Amino acid sequence: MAVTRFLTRAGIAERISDFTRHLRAHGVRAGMPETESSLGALQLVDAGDPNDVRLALKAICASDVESFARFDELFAAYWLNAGKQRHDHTSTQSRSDQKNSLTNLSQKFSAPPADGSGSIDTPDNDNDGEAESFGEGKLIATQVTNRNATDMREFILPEDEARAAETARRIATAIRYRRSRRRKAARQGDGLDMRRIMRKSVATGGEPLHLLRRHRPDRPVHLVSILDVSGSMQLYARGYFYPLSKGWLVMTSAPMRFCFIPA
Amino acid sequence: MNWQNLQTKLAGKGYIASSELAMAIHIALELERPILLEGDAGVGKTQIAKTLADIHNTELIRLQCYEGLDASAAIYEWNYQRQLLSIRAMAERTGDSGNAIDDIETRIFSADYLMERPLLRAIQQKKPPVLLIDEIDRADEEFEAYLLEILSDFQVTIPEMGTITAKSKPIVVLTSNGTRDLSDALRRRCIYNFVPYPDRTTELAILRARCPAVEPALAAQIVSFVQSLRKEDLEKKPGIAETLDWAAALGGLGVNDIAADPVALKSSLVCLLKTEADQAAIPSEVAQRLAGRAG
Repeated sequence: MAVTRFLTRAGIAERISDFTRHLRAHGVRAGMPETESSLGALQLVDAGDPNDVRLALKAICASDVESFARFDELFAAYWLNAGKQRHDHTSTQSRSDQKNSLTNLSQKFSAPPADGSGSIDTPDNDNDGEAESFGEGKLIATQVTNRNATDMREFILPEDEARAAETARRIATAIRYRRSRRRKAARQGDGLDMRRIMRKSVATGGEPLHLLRRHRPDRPVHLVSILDVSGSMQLYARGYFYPLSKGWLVMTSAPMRFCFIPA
Repeated sequence: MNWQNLQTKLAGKGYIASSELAMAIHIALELERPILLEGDAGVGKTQIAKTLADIHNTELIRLQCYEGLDASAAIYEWNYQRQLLSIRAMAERTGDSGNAIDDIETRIFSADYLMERPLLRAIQQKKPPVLLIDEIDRADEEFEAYLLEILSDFQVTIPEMGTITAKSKPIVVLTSNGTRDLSDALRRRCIYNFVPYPDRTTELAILRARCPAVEPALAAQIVSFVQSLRKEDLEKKPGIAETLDWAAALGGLGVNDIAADPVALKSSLVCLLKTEADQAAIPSEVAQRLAGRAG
């Protein structure tokens, strides 16, 4: 069985902790208690036998049907992938100072700083962005990040999120208190209700003492927000969810309802 | 004892456990943690508790969960009638003095007036029993909260008496049919295992272990038929319990070849098909086809 060649040396506790993080990154609810229990479980089995280790860690870390079904695959991906471990680009920075935020992106594409010259994303020559193909020195690789595969929340700063929530709140408020386009009240509106006046006047000898008016009944405004959380939209859905929930709170005090449509 | 030994012991008692299940039980026993078994009805979840009690030669205390189950039915309850009688008897004997009232209060909230329900009884045993909390998904979420204290600390807090700590830690087995999602707090306290329908080899081994009188050829036919039946679109797929019942029924009917006796096959299918819709979904022709394939 071809085991993973890890890039760094680490103790068993660190390795198990890293494995738990790997599980968490793939949707398995495992944390510090599971790490601790896993270390305890490994003392009960032959830790040199991958099958024993897999069974023991599965018993500890899988806590529902989905994680139970996926565990073997995740275990093999971490411990038995027969290759070198790649660096995870999981950031440990707080979200507020992440470099790939929308604000930073917008700064990047805005005008260059006053104290510098040239463009930050093209070479400093007159070839319209084309690099020189001759000269001294050697070519070096630059790091390319696939932003399409990044969760949209990574790009959203707290202030962006607050502005989106405020916008959603204003939209919801505008929908709720939308002015009618009618210039005069409709006939079914607050006009006199002749039927009720006549019925009521029977009791007063035919004299209409009470003028009763029609009242427009209060009807709830329905807001249907559809948020696609399927696999392809997962990266964006979480980012949109917060502003959506803020808009919802303005519209109604009723709890949000969720409908999951299986494939 | 390692997990392979445990697997062998379970097999010796007629329970054929998969490697994953044996390992989960082994770890649960060694780490003194509850084990949560999830799976469809009839795959042998409850039987594990019975077999463990058998292996450890200890008492099996069972708590069957249902909607509306509360602490008074599961943990403890005060014997109100007896408390009332005692209050009257003591009041007549001692009069209304202040000390006497304090005495009465102390006495009626003592262990003598406490009725132990399964959970309290389980932690009061000197020899660790097997505590089976069956179909936990049927109980309300509030009841899960009651369980947390017992499952993590093996203690029960009674407001009038204080905290009762376990004399010995019971072997706790929780089962769930997955009708409701259990809370994360409960799941994290347990060692988890999903018990699926067994594959052909395992089911044949179970049948041979539990019904040794069934002919090997017939046993193979029964298992193949049931395995095929599970692939059909049924409301309630037959579990291992149904397979064993059917094998016993066929033995009782004197059937040696299910493909050769369509009448007996059709009439005995009531052991496997438990709803009217399922019985309608498997007419004689389909049963014959499945039996022919099994043969």
